[in-house]
Amino acid sequence: MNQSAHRVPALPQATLDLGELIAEHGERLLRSAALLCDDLHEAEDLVQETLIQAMRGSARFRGECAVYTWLYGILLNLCRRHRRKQRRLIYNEDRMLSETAPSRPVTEHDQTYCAEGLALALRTLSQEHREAIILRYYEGLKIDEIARVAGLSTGTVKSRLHYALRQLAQVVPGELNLFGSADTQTHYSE
Amino acid sequence: MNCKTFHHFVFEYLDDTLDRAIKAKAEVHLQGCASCRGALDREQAAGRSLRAALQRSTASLSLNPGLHDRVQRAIAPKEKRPT
Repeated sequence: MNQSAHRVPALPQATLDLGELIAEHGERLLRSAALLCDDLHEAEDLVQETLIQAMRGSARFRGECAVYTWLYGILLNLCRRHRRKQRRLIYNEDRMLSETAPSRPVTEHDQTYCAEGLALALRTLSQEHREAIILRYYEGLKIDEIARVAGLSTGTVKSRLHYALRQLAQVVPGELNLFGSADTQTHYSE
Repeated sequence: MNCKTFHHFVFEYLDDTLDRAIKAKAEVHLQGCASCRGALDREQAAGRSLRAALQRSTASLSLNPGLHDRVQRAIAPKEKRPT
């Protein structure tokens, strides 16, 4: 991600303009949010809330990272909170759904007829593994950047990436063939 | 450096964020290990596939035109009702 790679100078509150934020980062935030939560309407709500929080908290932005990285951190927290709320609702409704269950199972029909097999396979991952894949391969972040944005250790990030890639390789074996063999699996301390 | 250690550092190797000494060891290992060279190529190819698939799957999404106004209304100071 080129934009997040370079630092920006410290910005006073007045320089954060809503129109500019939306024009420069809105669409990218929306697309990432849609991948994270797998629902366009929820993604739109999350982006709206991200921008509201960013504008209300703009005084706290000191330019230690790129504007997009800062916005993305807010979005990620909102996605996680949203996800937790969903889990509570599901629990309250007494529905059978484990924490790591896919939001929608990938069917053979999907595999055959959907050209976006990989993107579809992403839905089979747990939220934390999906996050790792999106941050790495959609946002193009380096390991240390993912660790910073997601609030994790680099070891945890790498562990999640390796696991997620192995899972994806099982769902779409033709597309991904990675460090998956049992003798070379790498374990990281979290 | 052996294969297991190289796998441990493969992401940082691709990110070019390894300490210079470790990077040098990784490159020596890569020169002599076809298996790790292949694995590195596959990681890069998988990354390209994933990136392209994720970009394609979201390419048609665009912002709702009312977004700016909704955010603006939400952050505007609330007017006090006349008493």
